[in-house]
Amino acid sequence: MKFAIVEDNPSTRMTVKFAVQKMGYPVVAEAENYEEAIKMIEESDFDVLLLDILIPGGSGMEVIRNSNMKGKKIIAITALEQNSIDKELLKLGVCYILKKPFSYSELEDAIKKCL
Amino acid sequence: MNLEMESIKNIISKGLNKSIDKMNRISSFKWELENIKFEVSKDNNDCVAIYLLSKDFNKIAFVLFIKKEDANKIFKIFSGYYPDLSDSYKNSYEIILREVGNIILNSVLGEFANLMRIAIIPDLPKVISGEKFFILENISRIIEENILKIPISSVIKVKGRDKIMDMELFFFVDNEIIRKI
Repeated sequence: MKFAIVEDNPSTRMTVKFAVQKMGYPVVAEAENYEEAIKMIEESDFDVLLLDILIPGGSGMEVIRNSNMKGKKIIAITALEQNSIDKELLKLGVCYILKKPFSYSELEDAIKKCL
Repeated sequence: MNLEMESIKNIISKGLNKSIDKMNRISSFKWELENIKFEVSKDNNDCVAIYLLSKDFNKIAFVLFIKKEDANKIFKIFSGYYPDLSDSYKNSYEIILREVGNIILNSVLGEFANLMRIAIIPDLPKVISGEKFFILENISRIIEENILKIPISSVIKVKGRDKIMDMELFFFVDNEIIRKI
C-alpha cells in the first residue's frame, strides 16, 4: 500500500509522512500546492492520498474533481468545520475526513479505517 | 437589527469556544476564553494579524489581531523558543501563527456556514504584521464597502506560566448574510 501526501504546511507534511512510515507504508510522492498535486497524481503510482483541503492555488476538492482518482483512496485533512463541505467531500469519494488539529492516533485510525 | 446582532454574537462565541477546545488538544498549556467583549479596543499596538477571506464568497471575512508580544508567546508555546526573526526563522514563525489562525478563524467561519447551510471555501489564511488600525484599514479596502464590521475583543488566557494573551477578532459580514441569519 503506497501513500501520497498533499499538504502545504511543511511541518504537518513531515509529521504525516513520519506517521505513515511508522505504520510501515512508503510515502512515494508529495506535493504542496494545487499544480503540484495534479502533476503528482498524474505521474505517481500510489494507493492512498492524504489530501489537505486548503492548499495554495486551488482547493483539495478541485484536485479530486480535476484528476483521475479511480481506484485510489482519499483521506481529506482539513481545519474546515462545515457540514456542506464534509458532505461534498464524501460525495467526491473521500473515505475519511480528518479534522485539524489531529493526533498521531487519530491519523492512524483514519488510515486503518480506509484500508 | 438588535436580534440579528445577538445571533451573530452567539455564533461567534460558539465558534471561539470550539476553537479553544481545539487549541487545548494540541497545546501543553491550558487555553481559556476569558471573556468576549463586542467593542473595539483603542490600543493601536504592533500586532500580528491573521486574516481569512474567500475569493468565491466575498460576503464574509475575519481578521484576528494578536499583540506582537503575545504572538511571540504563542510561537514559544509551539516551538519551545522565542522567535529570532531572522530570515531562517521567519518562515516557521508565520507557519505557526497561520495554523493557530486557521484553527480559530475556521471554527468561527464553520458556525456561520453551517447555520446558513452553505459551503464557504476560504483562501489560505494570510499573516501580516504592523499597527492594528493600519492593518485594519488596508484589509477593509480589499473587502467590499457595503459590509458591516463587528469588532470583538476577546481575551484568551493561556495558563501554564502566567501567560495571558489578548486577541481581537474583527468580523466583516454583508447585510444580505445578516438578513439570512
